[in-house]
Amino acid sequence: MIELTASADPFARHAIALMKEYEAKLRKYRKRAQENMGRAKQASGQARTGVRLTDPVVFVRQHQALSQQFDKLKPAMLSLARIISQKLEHSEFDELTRLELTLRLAEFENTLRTTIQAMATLPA
Amino acid sequence: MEEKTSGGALEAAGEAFDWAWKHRDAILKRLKSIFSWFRSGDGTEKKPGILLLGAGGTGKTTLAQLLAGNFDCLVDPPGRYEESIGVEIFGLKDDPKVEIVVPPGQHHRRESTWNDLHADIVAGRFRGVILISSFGFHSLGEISYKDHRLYQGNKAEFLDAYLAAQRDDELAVLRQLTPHLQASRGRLWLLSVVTKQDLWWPQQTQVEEYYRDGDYGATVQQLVSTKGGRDFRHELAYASLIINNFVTGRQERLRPNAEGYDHNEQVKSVRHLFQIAEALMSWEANQ
Repeated sequence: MIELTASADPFARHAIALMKEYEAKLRKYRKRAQENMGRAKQASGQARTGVRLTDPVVFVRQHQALSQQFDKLKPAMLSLARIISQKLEHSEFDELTRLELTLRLAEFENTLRTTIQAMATLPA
Repeated sequence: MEEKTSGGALEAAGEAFDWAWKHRDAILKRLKSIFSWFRSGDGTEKKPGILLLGAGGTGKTTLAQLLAGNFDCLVDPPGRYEESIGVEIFGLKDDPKVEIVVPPGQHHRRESTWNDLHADIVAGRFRGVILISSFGFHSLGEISYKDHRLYQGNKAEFLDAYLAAQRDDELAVLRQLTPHLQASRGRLWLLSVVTKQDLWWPQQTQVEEYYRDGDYGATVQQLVSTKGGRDFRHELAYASLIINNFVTGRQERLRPNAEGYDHNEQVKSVRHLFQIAEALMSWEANQ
C-alpha cells in the first residue's frame, strides 16, 4: 500500500487522503464534461451541414445529468477546501506537513475550479 | 412585547431616512457614478483598473460588492464569512461582462497570486489600490479559536494575541506593497480602508492614531513623501460594512459588536467612504 503522507498529524493525514480521493473524482467529472462538450459540438456541426448522426440534445441531457450529480458534491468540496485552508492559515504544523498540505490543496482547488468551469459550459 | 428603544434615537433615524427619501434621486445618481468609476478599467495599461488587496477576512469581497453596487449594507443581511478560494472573479449584476478581481488574502495563497499583481502595479495596470485592514479583526472561517496556534487556554488572552498578530500582518502587507507603489509609473492613489468599525468603536482614538501616526501611518507617510503629491495620493477611511459580532466560523463569539454603534454610525461611515471615493474620482479627472 502506498503511504499517502508521512505526516503524523491526524488532521493532515485525513485531509490529504480526502483531497487525493476527491481530486481524482473531480478529474473524471471534468473529463466527462469535456467529452460531452466535444460530442455536442460535433453533433451541432453535423446538423448544420445537414449530416446528422446524433441529436445534440442527447449530449445536453447527459451534461445536465452529470451537472446534477456534481452539484451534490460541490458544496462539500468547497467546504473541504475552506476548512483545510483555514487550518493552514491559523494552526501549527511542522514544515513538511505544511508544505504537503499547501501543495495538495493547490492541486485540489485547481482541479475543483476547472471542473466547475467545465460543468458551467453547456454544449452548444 | 414592548420594544425597548430610545425615543430620541428613533426620531433621529426617522429624520435621516426622511432626508434620504427626499433626496433619493440625487443620492442614487451620485452612487451610480461611484459604482461606474469603480468598475471602469480592465487592468491594462490603457485602461488601468482598481486593485483590492488585504489579508484574509478583512472584508475585501464585501467592499468590492459594495463599491460595485451589488451589495447594500443597509438592507442586505450579514452573511456568514466564507473564505474566497483562489482569485475571486465575479460579474456585476447589470453588466456581467465586467469583472472585478479580488485576490485571496490567506498566506498560503499570496505567493501564487500577489506577485503578479505587484508587478502589474509597477507596470501601470492599476490606477488605484484599496488596501483593506480591520485593526486585526480578521474573520476566522471554518476553524475553532481553540485550534488556533495562539490559543493557550484563555479566550480573552487568545483574542488579544490574535488581534496583535493580525495587525502585524496588516503592516507586513503594507510594507510588502510599498516598494511596488514606489516603483509604479503614472498617477496612482492608495486608499487605506479600516473596516469593522462596529467592533473597535470604543478604541476609535487609538485606532486613528495607529493608522495615521503609528507604525502603519509612518510607513504610508514615508511613501507619500517619496512619491510626491502630484502623482500619488493617499486617503484613509474607517467604516463598518456589516454590523456583526466577531464570531468564528463555528459560531463562537469572540467579541460582541460595540454598544452604542448603531445604524446611524454605520451610515455615516459608509457615506464618508463614498465621499472619499468621489474625491479620488475628481483627483483622477484633474490630470
